[in-house]
Amino acid sequence: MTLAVHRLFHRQLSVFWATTYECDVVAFDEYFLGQLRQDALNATILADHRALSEAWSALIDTGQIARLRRVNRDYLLHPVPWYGQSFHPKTYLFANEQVGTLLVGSGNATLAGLVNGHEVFSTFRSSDPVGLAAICHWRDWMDQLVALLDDQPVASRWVDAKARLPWLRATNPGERSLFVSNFETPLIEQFLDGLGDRITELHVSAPFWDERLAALSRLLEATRPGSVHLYLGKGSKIDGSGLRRLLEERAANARLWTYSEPHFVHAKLVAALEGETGRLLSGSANLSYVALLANARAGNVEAGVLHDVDAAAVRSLFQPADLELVPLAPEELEQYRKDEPRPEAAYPYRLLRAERLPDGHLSLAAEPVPPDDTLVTGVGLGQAALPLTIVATDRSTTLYNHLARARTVTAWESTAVLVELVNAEGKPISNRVPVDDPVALEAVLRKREDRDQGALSELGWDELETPVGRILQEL
Amino acid sequence: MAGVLMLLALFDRVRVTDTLPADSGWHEISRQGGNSQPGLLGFVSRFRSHLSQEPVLADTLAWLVRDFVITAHDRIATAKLPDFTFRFRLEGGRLRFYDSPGIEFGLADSRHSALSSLGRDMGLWSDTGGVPRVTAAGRDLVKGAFE
Repeated sequence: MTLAVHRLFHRQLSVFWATTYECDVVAFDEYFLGQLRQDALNATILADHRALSEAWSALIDTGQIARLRRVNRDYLLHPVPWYGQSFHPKTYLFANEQVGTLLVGSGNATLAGLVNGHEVFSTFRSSDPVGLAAICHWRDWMDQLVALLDDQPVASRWVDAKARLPWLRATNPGERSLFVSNFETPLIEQFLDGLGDRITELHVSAPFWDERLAALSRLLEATRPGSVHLYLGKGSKIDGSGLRRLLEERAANARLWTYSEPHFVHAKLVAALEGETGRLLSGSANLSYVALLANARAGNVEAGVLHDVDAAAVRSLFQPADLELVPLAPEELEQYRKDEPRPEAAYPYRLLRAERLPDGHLSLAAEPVPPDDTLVTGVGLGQAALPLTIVATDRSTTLYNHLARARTVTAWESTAVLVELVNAEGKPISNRVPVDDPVALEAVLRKREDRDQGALSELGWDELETPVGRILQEL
Repeated sequence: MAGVLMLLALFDRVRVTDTLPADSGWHEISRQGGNSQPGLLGFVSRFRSHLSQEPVLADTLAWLVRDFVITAHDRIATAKLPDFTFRFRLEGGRLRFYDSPGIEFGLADSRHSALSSLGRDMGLWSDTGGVPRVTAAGRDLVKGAFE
């Protein structure tokens, strides 16, 4: 069925908690957050550090940074730097004190991922025992994740989120669910576990495949299917020549499919059928080594859904509602090219977060420990950089071995949305991060009483967010 | 290029409004603007600021397209969500074009009908036997605007 994800954003929610690879910050600032209520709301998004850094740079390069008015004021968006790999799970919890809905799927927190792309999501509702079990497993997974991050604002908001949702319990001993992650065990091992040895059909759809087709090779080797069905949309990143060679070497009975309209299909699905029953893995994992074959200590962080369903239902999932399947000739595989990752801006230091302190100074977290003459500056306003007092912390997690805390020597007067570390010559030495406003973030967690607002209660949130509205609130 | 020339001509002609009486309707009209796009005076102010940096023509063209085409369209289309009306969108620093909804080239200005009705009501043109004709008042307006 087609799911209108945008309808899940509504004013009855008190918690919106998301994990994603990419985040369209402008869309969240100007659209998605506007659909939620404007107080007594805990909206928190964890996104991949590298993808988020690229997004900030793109917003600066295209002159859009001034559009951001709500990030890290009304909602918290923090980066997750995952070793050398990607933080890639796409999970979204929409909840209030009574009920909750969890989406686990392929769509990033972008317009393409949540509004108009070709994505697959599984929906779990707390009112349903199967759904509740999945949400509780997701909760346990989030407990583990938050503990790894050593990010105090995220940790305190996670505690707050759980306190708001009395129904969101921990998993009972021995309780099983459809939610899976690769924190401990690679997804492919979970997919293959207990699978029969008479696989009649293997179906695979993904937009990104690893260069050596290791994930597909492993699937073919483990399942030895009667036939293999591969689905490639426009722009799928795969070594087409290599795929053709692999299928010939394995003498696989392969059926190649594309779609009647040239669309980029971002859904990620793996299914093995045995007669009229089947097992389906859906979620964030592409057909790559780091997503499917590795656990999170060696690869990406991924999340998905694993369930046994009937064969007809599985086959129908591989055909998008508005597209027809069209056979793809083996020679047409030559048009497909492997992914060529864009070169990453290499900085010696990762800036993890920045926070405006009550005394007006700026507090930073970075890794590894930068030199003492490091400065911090607002991006794009041409302001003077400020010196820092830098302290190496004695705390370390598996994610951060050399974490540093820094604090501006003088008060931070800048109105810049983003900050970065620069060396004594003014050259950037870190990625950019937005500045958290802890006072605003704390205030939006609480219910705003009408009597506390006076005449402001008659204004809408968009009016309150105008320059005049902000002055009125400060008065 | 013709568009840039027209904007430069407009920029030059706006000086005329400085010579008008304070209660002239032109002042009020030129101040009109929206949340997503500036009005005439707002644009001229920003254009003046841009030109004060002595840009080359390519810089001006890039500035106009970025600030008044791409960003303006993005702001307006974002405000219309969940109706997806984007023709293009900046995603990760790249401009992505959408072919749905389709783009029909031609007279697509949604205000054409309203403005032509207003023009007729103001006596700037008339419908004579099914043939539209510019009236003397209309000719005076054209002459006043472009001379």
